[in-house]
Order: sequence, then structure tokens, then C-alpha cells
Amino acid sequence: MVIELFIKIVTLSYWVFRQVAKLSQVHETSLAKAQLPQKLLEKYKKFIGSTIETHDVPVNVLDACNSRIRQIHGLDVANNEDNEDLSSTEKALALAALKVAEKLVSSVHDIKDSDLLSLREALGASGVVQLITALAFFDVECRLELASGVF
Amino acid sequence: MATNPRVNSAIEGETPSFTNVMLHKRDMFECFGDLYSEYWRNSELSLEIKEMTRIRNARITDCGY
Repeated sequence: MVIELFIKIVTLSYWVFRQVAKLSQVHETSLAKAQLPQKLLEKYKKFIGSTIETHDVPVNVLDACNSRIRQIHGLDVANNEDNEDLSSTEKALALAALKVAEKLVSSVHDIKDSDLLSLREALGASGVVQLITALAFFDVECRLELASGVF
Repeated sequence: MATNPRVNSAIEGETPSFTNVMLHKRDMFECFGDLYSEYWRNSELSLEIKEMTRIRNARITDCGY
């Protein structure tokens, strides 16, 4: 029983680590080509990292939102086969987050109080702040990529 | 559009503002402040260009800043 639990914890930790690493890698690859001044680049990477490395928002929810925002912008999307194993709670959370992600890209004024209510209940204030910030900068990254053509 | 603040202030008793709401994620907000000040102080664009584009962006987005 204890061993099974230990294996589950190790497996879950590894999966979360992989997801965070995958999200981080996307930004690392993009930023390497941006040719920003070194100091600005370092601070940008540190900030972007702080929006995705967290315990407040499940990494697979962030990953799903990043993919959806990239799809809306017509950009390539990494394979998200890992997200198929979401629990029903995570699926509900992901759906609520995706709804906000979609509106944030092209109709941000259409985001309603009710859109954030369930997220606030599930994630708390710190989770909502992190989620909104992450979504906004997923969108920024897409716009940078489209405008510069170098990401 | 928001009809009221959707997240409370991280500082008890204060009216919600951009700063005190972002303080719910203090580490992230500090990274943001560090990046934003670097952009405004040291980037290669002039202050005039940056301010002009900031205002235009705010007007297009209708954000009020």
C-alpha cells in the first residue's frame, strides 16, 4: 500500500515536471531567437517562468490554454496527448479556463464576472491572478511570434 | 467588461487596484516589475515612442490606463 502510494507520487511528480519542462522549453526556444538585449531577455525569461512554474494552477490547464491561444492565432501547437487523462474536476477547471482564454484573445471585454467565479472558487485569488497573467502572456508570445516572424 | 473587481486586494481593507491584486502572487509580480522597469529604463526605444505606443495600445484595448 505504502509502496503503491510512493510509486503514484513519484509518477505524478515526474509527469508534472515533464509538463512544466515542456512549457518552459517552448518559451526558451522562442526567446533564443528573439535577439532581445541580454538583460531584458533574462528578466523576460524569469517573469515568464514565474507565470508557469507554480502550485496554484495545474500545469495541464495552463498547457491546454496555451495550445488553444496558439490555435486561435493560427500557430503550431505541440501534441497534447498527455492531457487526455484529466480527472473530471480538472476537465471542468480546464473548460472554465479555456473559456476565459478564448475571450481574452479577441473579445476581452466579453469576459463576464461569472466566467471568473468558478475559477476563483477552484483556484483562489492567487490562482486566478496567475492564470490571467499566464493567459495574457501566452497571447503576447503569439503576437510577438506573428509580428516578428522570428520566434 | 468587469462590473466590479473580480479579485479582492491582497492587502486587507484596501480597495482593489492592479498592484494590490497582483500581490496575491508576490513573486510573480516582483518578476513583472523587474522586467517592466528594465523595459522602460534601458531598452533601445526612446521614451516618447514607448509612451506613445502604450497610450495607443490602451485606447485600442479600452483599458483606461
